Amino acid sequence: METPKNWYTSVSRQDWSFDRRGAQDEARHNEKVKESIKDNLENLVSDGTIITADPHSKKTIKVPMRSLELPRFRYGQPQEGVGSGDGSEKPGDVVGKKPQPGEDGEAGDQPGEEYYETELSIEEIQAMVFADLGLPRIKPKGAQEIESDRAVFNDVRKNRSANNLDLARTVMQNMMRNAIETGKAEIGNISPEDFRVRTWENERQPENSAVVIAMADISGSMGEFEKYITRAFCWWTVGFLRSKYPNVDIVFITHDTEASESTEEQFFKRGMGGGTKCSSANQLALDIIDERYPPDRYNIYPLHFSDGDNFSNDNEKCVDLVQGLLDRDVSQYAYVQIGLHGRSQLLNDYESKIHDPRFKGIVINEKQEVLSALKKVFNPKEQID
Amino acid sequence: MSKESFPSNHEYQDPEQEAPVPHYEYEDEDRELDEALENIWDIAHEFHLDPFPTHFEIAPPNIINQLGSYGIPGRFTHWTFGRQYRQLKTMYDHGLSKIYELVINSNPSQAFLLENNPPIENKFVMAHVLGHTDFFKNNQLFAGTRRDMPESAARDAERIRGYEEKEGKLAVEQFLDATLAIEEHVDPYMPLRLSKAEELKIWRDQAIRSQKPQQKKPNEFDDMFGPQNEVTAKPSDKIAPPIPPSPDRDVLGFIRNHAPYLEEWQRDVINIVRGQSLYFYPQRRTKIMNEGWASYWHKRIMREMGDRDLISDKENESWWLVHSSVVAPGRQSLNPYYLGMTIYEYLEDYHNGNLTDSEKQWLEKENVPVPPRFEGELKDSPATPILRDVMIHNDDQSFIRNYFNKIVADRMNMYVYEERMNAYGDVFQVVKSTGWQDIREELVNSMNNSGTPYIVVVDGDYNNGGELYLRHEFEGRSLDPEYIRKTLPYIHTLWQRPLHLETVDSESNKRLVYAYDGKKLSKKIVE
Repeated sequence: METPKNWYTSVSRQDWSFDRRGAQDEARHNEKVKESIKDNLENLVSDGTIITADPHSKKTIKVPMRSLELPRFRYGQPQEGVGSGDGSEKPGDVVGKKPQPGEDGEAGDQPGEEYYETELSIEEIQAMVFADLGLPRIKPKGAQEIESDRAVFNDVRKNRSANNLDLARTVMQNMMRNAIETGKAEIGNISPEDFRVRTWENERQPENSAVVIAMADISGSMGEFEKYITRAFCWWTVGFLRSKYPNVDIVFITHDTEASESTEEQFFKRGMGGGTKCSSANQLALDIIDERYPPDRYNIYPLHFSDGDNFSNDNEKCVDLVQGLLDRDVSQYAYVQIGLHGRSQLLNDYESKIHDPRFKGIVINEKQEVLSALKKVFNPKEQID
Repeated sequence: MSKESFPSNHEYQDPEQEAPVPHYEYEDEDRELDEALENIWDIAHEFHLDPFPTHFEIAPPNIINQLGSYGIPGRFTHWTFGRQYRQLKTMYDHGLSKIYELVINSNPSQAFLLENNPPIENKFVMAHVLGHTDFFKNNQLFAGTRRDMPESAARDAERIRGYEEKEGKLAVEQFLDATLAIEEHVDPYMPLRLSKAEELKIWRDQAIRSQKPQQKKPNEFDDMFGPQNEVTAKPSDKIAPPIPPSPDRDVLGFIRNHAPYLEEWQRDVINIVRGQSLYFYPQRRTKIMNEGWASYWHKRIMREMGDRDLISDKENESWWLVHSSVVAPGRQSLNPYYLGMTIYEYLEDYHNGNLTDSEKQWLEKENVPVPPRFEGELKDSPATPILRDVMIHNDDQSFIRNYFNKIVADRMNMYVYEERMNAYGDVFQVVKSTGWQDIREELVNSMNNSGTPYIVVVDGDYNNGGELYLRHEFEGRSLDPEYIRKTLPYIHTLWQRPLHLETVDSESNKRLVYAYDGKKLSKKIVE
């Protein structure tokens, strides 16, 4: 018989619907991209679209992410190349412009220049930021033990609603029953008597009562940048406290030359003019503590934001008041100085006169420093042995 | 017409059993493609193409994109392929680009056609693919490649899946990351590598043999003892040869054999990656030649299909459209299809005496003899066997060096550009030269080691402490320091002892040695 001609070449089709390798590896790549967002957190933390969002919203934001690549030895960017045009090109003619990273969504021809947007929910970003934050030097204070609403699955029972069926234990039970009944430990003939159901208790945990006193300078010298940073810092602080320490009180104080207690909403919105006396806020904090938060029952965290542009004759008073707060056994006093003007006299005075590890003076000069400042102020590793 | 001389499959069936075949969705289209393929194959043969048996599989876009990102069907899984897949998919979804053809170097060759391409585009792709499978079979660089790669890659993938189960997915992924980061650093001239024990024995034997016979220093009392003393000292067999004895370009193979703490599965993973890298090496080195060859031939085969009325006028129009997009010139980067095809076409015109007058004049001025005009069909022309010879015996670099000239540069309106930055940090590409020698030099230089830095292992026991000393064989371009910093930790994952990388900074022309000990990267200038 003659060999059919199309022995050596042919066309065919088959069913490919089970081949999902590409999609699976793509999912793994995307997962790794998300992981790498952690390296990019400092930019996200001061991102305007996040800190104006309602912390509980389900809103997602788009984060431009570089796709991941494996590094390899390669030459520095080529300075030269070859192209072909329409014949009119002469030396000195511009034939193209190199796209800047992220300029448009198209993939560049260089590896690693591909940018695309990853969607993240506010919650996901918060979880990453909050992972490293905690209240420092926290002591068990206060008598009450507070029942948190966290349910802990810690028991297995028979004869319950099968909603929380514990599959492994149920199968184990079934095998044991079969072993008893037939002598063979095998799975089969599962009946309701095999069902093992997980059940829960509301966890009781001692609550460390605490209060954060947030004080913000809203005087005329606080410019857009300073207000923005204060806002960003406080937005994360409030979110983090609410999620990790639902029972922590937050007191808001705004001040110029005079201080007043405000609501959360006012705190984020208020703007004023006038001079600055930081002592007014510290004094008010002291009064509020004496009135409402006895230090033997509360961990107290005063937190003051200012550009440091304080009336110079007020500095000494501030030092005394901060010392007074520390003497009241507050857990920490943090002074966050924001601004582009370098260190202020107030911060210098604080640091030269107050020698207490509980005092923290922190300077934020750039947006990207908000995250590291948050980590310094709320460093859970600083605890009392 | 070929139907008569070669009966199709249907006619082999017993007439009595010729029950009506149930219809399926693509039946008509598949029959059309089948017929076209027979004609394309015949024409290719008339043009003296000699491809591997080539099987075409029609597949949906996601599968084509998937195959395009893995490069070999059945290859192991890794997130870098997922990244590639995502990229291809996005481009396809946005209509920016699609993979037209996909063909695997194997025997028989497997090619894939996009299911939603109009039939004429798939006919065009078939003609193109036969150019590739001819190239795979005949270009000398491919002679040593594994023609059973799809099967072998699938077995490798199976073993890697086993390692994932045993060692954990993450451990395997991280080890693959490290191995893939240096996958290009293999020695194509040493595809088979002996085992560690065999290799060490050979190195040692060589070292013993190459020892200089130990001459005793002449001594004033020598003559007192007579001739019996003149026995030369036997070469010592207590010799430790350097490892490796000479700079070793097969970095992956060297690490597989000599990295001190690797487990068996890890050596196997290195071996798999190394084998696949060697398989792809000829493809990296013949991009222009291979795509050019396929484009040169799809154009001629399809033209013939039109001349013989095997495709309609409308189809004729549409494949020309696809063709012109495939060989479209690029202003900022060269289109390998276009460059390769233009060089082959120039060679055809030269050998068949079809150059323009001004082209001839230039050759005459350069004292190049111009062959007489050939009147006749392409398949009988003097150019056809010469072109095959060129295709068989070159790689991209020699192809450009030997055959690129002013005529090609002018036909393609080529130029060399350089990048210049303005005051705002924008980088513009500015034409530097339109001289063909400048263009050739730029092209040839960019193809050194197919564009990958050339790295060798100099010492596997540096500082007598089992440290690895690598050297970048400098060819005028320095390495990107950012990528040195990022890549060394991956090599450390494999070697697990301190590393050194010697290179040259092209600006200061000084030798630099980077060192990485697992924690810290340092850099020093050496004399």
